Amino acid sequence: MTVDPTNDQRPGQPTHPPQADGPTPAADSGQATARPDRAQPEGAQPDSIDQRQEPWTTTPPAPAPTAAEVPFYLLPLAGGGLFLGALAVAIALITHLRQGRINADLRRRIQRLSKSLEASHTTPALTLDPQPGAHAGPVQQAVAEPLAVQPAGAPSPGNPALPPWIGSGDPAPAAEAATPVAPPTISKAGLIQAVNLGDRQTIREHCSAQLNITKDSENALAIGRSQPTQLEEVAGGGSYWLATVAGQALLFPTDITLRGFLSVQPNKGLYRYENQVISKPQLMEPALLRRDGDRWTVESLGRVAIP
Amino acid sequence: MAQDIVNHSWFPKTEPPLSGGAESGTWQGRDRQSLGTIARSLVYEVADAKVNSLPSPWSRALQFEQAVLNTRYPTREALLEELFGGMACLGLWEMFGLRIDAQRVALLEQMDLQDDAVGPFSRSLASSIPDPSTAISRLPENRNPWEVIYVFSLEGSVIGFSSPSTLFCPAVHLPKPIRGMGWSGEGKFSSPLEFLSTPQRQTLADWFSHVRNGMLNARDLNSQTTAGQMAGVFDLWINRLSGGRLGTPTLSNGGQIANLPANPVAVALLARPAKGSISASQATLDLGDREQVPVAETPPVGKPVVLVDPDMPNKLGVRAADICLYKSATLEAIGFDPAQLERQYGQEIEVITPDDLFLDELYLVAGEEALMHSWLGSRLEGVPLVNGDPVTPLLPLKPKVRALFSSRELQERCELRVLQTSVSSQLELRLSLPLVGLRQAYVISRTYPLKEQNLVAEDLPVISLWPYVSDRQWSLYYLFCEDTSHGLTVDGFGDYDRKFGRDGQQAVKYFTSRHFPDLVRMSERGQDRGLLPVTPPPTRTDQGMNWRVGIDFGTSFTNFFVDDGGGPRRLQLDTRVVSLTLSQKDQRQRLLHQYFIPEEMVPTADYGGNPPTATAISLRGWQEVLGQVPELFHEARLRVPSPGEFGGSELRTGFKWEQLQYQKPFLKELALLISANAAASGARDISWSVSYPSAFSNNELARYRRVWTELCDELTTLTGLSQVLHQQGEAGLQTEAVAFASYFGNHQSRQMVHTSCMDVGGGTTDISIWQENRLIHQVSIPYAGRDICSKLLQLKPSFLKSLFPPSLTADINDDEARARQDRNFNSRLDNIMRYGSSELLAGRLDMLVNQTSPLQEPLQQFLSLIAISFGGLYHYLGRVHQVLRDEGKLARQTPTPVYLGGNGGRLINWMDGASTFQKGGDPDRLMELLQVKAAGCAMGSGSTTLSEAYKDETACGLISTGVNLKGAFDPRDDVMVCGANLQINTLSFRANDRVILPHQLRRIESYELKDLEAIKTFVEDYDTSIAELRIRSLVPIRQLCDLDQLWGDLETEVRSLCLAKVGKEPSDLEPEPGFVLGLRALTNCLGRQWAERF
Repeated sequence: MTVDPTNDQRPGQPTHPPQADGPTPAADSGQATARPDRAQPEGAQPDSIDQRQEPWTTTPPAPAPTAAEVPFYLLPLAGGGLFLGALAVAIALITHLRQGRINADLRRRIQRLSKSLEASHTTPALTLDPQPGAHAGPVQQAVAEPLAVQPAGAPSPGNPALPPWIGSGDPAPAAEAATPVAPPTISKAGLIQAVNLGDRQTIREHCSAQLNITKDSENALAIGRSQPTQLEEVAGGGSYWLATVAGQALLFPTDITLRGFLSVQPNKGLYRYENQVISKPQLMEPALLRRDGDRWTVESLGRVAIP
Repeated sequence: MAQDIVNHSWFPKTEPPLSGGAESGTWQGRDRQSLGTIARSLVYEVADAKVNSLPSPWSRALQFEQAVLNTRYPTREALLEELFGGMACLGLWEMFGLRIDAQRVALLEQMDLQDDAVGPFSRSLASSIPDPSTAISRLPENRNPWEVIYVFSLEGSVIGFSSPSTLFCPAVHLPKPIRGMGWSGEGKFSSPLEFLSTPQRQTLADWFSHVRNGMLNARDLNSQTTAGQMAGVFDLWINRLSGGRLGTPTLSNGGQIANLPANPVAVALLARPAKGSISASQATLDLGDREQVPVAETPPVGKPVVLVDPDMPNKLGVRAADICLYKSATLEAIGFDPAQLERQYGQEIEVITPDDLFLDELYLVAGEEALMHSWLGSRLEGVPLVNGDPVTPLLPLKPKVRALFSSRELQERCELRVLQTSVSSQLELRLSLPLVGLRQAYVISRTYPLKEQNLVAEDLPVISLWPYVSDRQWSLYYLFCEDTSHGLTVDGFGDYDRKFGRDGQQAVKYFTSRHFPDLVRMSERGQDRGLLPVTPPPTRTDQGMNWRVGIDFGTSFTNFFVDDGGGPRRLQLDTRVVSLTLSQKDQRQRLLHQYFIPEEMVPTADYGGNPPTATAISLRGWQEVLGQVPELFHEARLRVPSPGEFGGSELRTGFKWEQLQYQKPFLKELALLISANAAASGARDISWSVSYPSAFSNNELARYRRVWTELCDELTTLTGLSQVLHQQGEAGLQTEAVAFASYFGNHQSRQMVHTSCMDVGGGTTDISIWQENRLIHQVSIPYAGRDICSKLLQLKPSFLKSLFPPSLTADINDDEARARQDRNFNSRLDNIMRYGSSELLAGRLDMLVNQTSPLQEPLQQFLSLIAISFGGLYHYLGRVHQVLRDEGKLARQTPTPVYLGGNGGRLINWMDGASTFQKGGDPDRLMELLQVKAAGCAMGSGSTTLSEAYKDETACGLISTGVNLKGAFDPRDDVMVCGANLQINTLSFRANDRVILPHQLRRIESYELKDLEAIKTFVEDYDTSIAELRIRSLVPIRQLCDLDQLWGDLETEVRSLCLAKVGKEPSDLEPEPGFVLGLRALTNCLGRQWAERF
């Protein structure tokens, strides 16, 4: 595990403070998919999704900090009553953890702002669009339609393994998962923009599962049978990803899939293609999905602009 | 040389240091007190040494002499230990890979030098030269043996000189340790015992014995006393070395100290060192799989691979001196230096170290279990994480490992373990090396920190391998991957061949190897990033089966049947492509479809199956050179188009009849895929049965035969299986007509007593006529599915789109002109028909025909046009029957029952009101009546039986055996019946004539139907038959057009078709009966009028 260079820890302190053996304050769980700055409990097992979503009481107990690891200002307490000492340690660690996450949150916001700024400089294709309204629409929506991302309730608990390029999220402590704090607000247009800009960080934060077309649907497509395409959640190698925005399950192509539309626009019953004067394929509208048991069925096709 | 003598430390050091004279080489007299001072300050390395003699220039040599002669000499023990070490060096230098030189120093010759140093010093030495009486040897003319000595130097450092009384006098101080001779490490020689392995000790003991005996028996022996004492010293050493056991001394063959003279013998004895005995190596790798099946870099048999690991003594619990690396070289002897072993035995062995095996860094790819078909995950304990995200390590071994171990062996010998500490995660790789002679594997390991910056692939590249078949059953392998200059990709080995494909931004590369690529070399920006170990495919033990494969290379689709001993069957191909990375599926499928081999042949068996597979090839990534045969796979590869992703400009179809250069790569890939399935199931031999239409011109046939002959040769090389063209029919090829009939006659055991078979394919209709199971006529006519249906639909794409769902026709252009120019239209349409016909015939067609709509009338007329085409084929069949009866070949005067099949044959279903052709139904009766009218025979049972296995008949028939169908199957013996009055150059053929073109005919100068009588007769018969049979669902020809206008149009069309044949050589002329040419013209005209009407 690498050390987060932005983490303003004191020398001598553990790089990542051990998890407190109790619920983490609500504010700490603001980023369900927080990244490297998150502590990995020493001795913790690999962070499967299941484990992450276990109640916090099952979190492996953190090893007690040694005297050398206890901040100096807590040393007097360490020699006092056990309860007071433990409480003090817990408060200190929570404070520390919160600070780290606030930093991470700030960093992500800065990254997003940078991306947006970059986008405003690096999307000349938009100005070449003969139908600027159509193309600029989603971007405008990002401002005009600040829909809150709903918790990704659609995928079954424990099922959605996130793609490598998205990451498995953070080894979020169970206490955080249980904390009812809304994830960051983003609109469908915001996600579209993230896809078109290749903003993996934003995608990571909002992807709830990676999907592929089912074998049945592939066969049906191969013989031109007309039926709604079905997708299934996969643990890795997904070509599409799922996000739930305002209760709608939306299907987005990965960056690679989107770029692949440049050479071939397969009729897979997911997206319609529209020729535009642009330099590379752009997602205009994600496909809308409906849950069918353990599968997802395309309810309405998305749209992709291709050069 | 003389300067060396001066610089050499002849005297022991003094403490405090005593300065010499003002001038070097000058001998100054001193009083006894001064000498006492010097004596007291002499430093001997042995702390308890006592000085009881005065130093002289010869004091060092004389000290050793005293130590040998005087058993009570105070420093005897220390001096003899030093002499022991020095003599050991002289005896073992060659075994340790060293080189000793000797320089002759003759004092009397040096004395005359008039320089400031050497001359005076030599004179000084000469003036106090030791007494020769104690010398072991004597010189002629009573010269003093001390006058000439030899200075020994090793790698530039003096180690001592020859001593007439003790053979050797070690140097007082060794400026540096001698590599491998640990007994030289303290600045002087010491006992070598603890630094020698047992064999080395024995060797040295034997050498000492040799020197001892040589000394005692020397003809120039001088002092028996000295020699005897020296012999005693030798015995002492021998005893310590081997407990007194002696073997036969073996002296070096090649190694000898130069410049040592033959006399005196005592000096000459030092010239040849011992030759090391050969001991069993304890560090030689046991190469298992690679020894049996070596790769290019594997050291040849007989060149052992020796591991040099400085940690060996600790791991093995033995002294370095006891670890024999190779022959007589021990780890100690090479000074733990692999380079020394390399220098010493580099010609004979390959030296490796752990550093040669382990990479310096561990590299990771994103995601857990991101590698597929790899055992790596199963040998990994724990989940490596980077920033909390699971990652998959690449095996941190260097490419060299491939030369030594197979993936199968590494699977057993590698263990990876995540080590978690409070501050970091590490991954330990333990590699158990099999060393010859060691019961337990020798474990080397390395621990790597998991570093974020070593995460080399967030998006995994597509890496696929073909075929996944053991290399005991296969020869040539392909490794396909995305090519990128900046991302993770595959790099090759020395024995790999590499090809590239590029299309726009997309670049891919193909490696080929004669070995199963079980260890894939991963690189990034040209740097090795580790190995991707592939789980080896299983090896079949039940080898020896023979596969028979029937290949029906069709215009639209190509089909094959396989008989692996259980009878002919259609085989859903397992492509045996395995992907090695969990790359994104769509991307993987796209690249594999476009540039390589798909992971799965779609549709799968549940959805209709593949084969038949489209006769289509993709040239994506290749800059086509017109007429050049593209190479598989990097220039062209089989394409499986689907309605949703059919293909664009890179697609080539229709190459059965034109652009023949694509035949070979297409057939080659198909044959390779089949062969891979055969090899995987244990087959060793494949015999191919191949069909061809007798409508092939002579040149086309010759070319096709050549393609297959060459293919069989190539396939044998590429696959390792024995591949032959089954010897049947004409030189291994069978006509489609006969193969088709074989399906009914052999596979279905139908009696071919008075029977006709019609295989209506995409481009040709192959007809065979049988009597009493004997072939009496066969002909292949270039009029089939594409003429019956495709051409009509190409004229009216909007009509096509109204028949089939958009999911099938999405990429059909609405613009008629563009549709006509689409060179892949026929193939595109064939795919639509293949997958859309069932649904259409299941009710939709019936509904469209009977429901009042704008589509109703054009559809009725379209179906009528299909009926006319089929009617024309049956009419021609009747004409052939008539000729055969006239020739006395066909006995019965009734129409023949007909077996109808082929991909185009299924179109006859469309004519039936129930959308399913039925025996006794209107179309059946119509076809029978047309046959009768054309043949002029009596009515009888001439019903048509429709095949239940469209498109399978020919492929299956090729390898079916059963009823012995007889006859001359060579179509060259059977010339087509003209069916209409035809003139070629000056040759006139009547309708009932056979079209025999003389060999002398060089060029088609003119080609024309002399009249339209045969077509007019057919039109009349057709309309009459419809009327007689009161068929309402089909429109008579005269209602489809204005007949008077039709004849005019027909003449023009016929002339146009005839002109296309003019200028050709007869060998290039595809045989086409005159009637069929007229039929083509008729349906072309009617089709155009139909398309224009709506």
